[in-house]
Amino acid sequence: MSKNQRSHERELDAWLSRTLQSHGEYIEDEGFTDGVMVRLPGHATRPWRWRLGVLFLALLSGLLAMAVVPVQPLVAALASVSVAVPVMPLLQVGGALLASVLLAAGYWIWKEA
Amino acid sequence: MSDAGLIARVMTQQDPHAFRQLVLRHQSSVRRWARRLCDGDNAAADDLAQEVFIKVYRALPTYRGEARFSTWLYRIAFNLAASQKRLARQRWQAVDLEQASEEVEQVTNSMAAGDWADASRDLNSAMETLSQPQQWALRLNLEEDLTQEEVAEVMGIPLGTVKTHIRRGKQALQLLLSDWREVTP
Repeated sequence: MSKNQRSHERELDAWLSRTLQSHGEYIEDEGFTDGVMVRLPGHATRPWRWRLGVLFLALLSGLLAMAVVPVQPLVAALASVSVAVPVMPLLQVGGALLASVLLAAGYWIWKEA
Repeated sequence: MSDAGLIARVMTQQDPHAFRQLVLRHQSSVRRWARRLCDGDNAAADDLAQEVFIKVYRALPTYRGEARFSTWLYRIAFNLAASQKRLARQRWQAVDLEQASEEVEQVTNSMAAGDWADASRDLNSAMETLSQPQQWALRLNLEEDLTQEEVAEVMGIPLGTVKTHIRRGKQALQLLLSDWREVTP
């Protein structure tokens, strides 16, 4: 192959490459990626399994607690204590704890979503 | 973040956002190729492209990073198309080796450097006249910037066959564009 031919071939390659690349259409996503993410293995089922598991365990713990702990004497004892002890600091601590739990749960849900 | 960085995040942290970024980044080129592999049937092409990404997600732990991520994607797309669409891979390997390369020498010699610009608008039409394997090999090589070795890997055919497809595709393009040049005032 002569020098001239090689030069023409290089030129053709460069032109073909340039022209094909410049004419390559971009396809807008339009929900394609969401469709893929929904179909990923485990993506749709894992969070629900998790949530159902947590709910089931919470329910079980609650039922066990009700069965084991003597509820009526405990309520009566708490009522007598709440009269004697100032309630506000306890409520504040409880509120702070509840807020932290809610914040952590919110962050976890946001991360999973 | 690079493809490698995103892949690392998917593998180590099971980070769905990182995989989402990968899909967003490559969806256009994968879908474009899927449309070619499905003969322009956009719905079938999108199904195929989704399958490609799902397969990629499953196979990510086996990805060693030896090939470019895009090359790997194209290879999976071609494999899926070959199995799902029952594309006859043997046909991709069939080449007419009898025509001698003197043809291209004559045509190449007859073309001057400046003549290409006028023919650019006709290139896509000219590409349509090539056989599918020639089109795909040329596009993977020149449009996607894959080496001939990578093209062979993606199409799953021998390197020699790829070289023949590319050479013969270019010959045909030169002939077509040269003819049109002569007709154009």
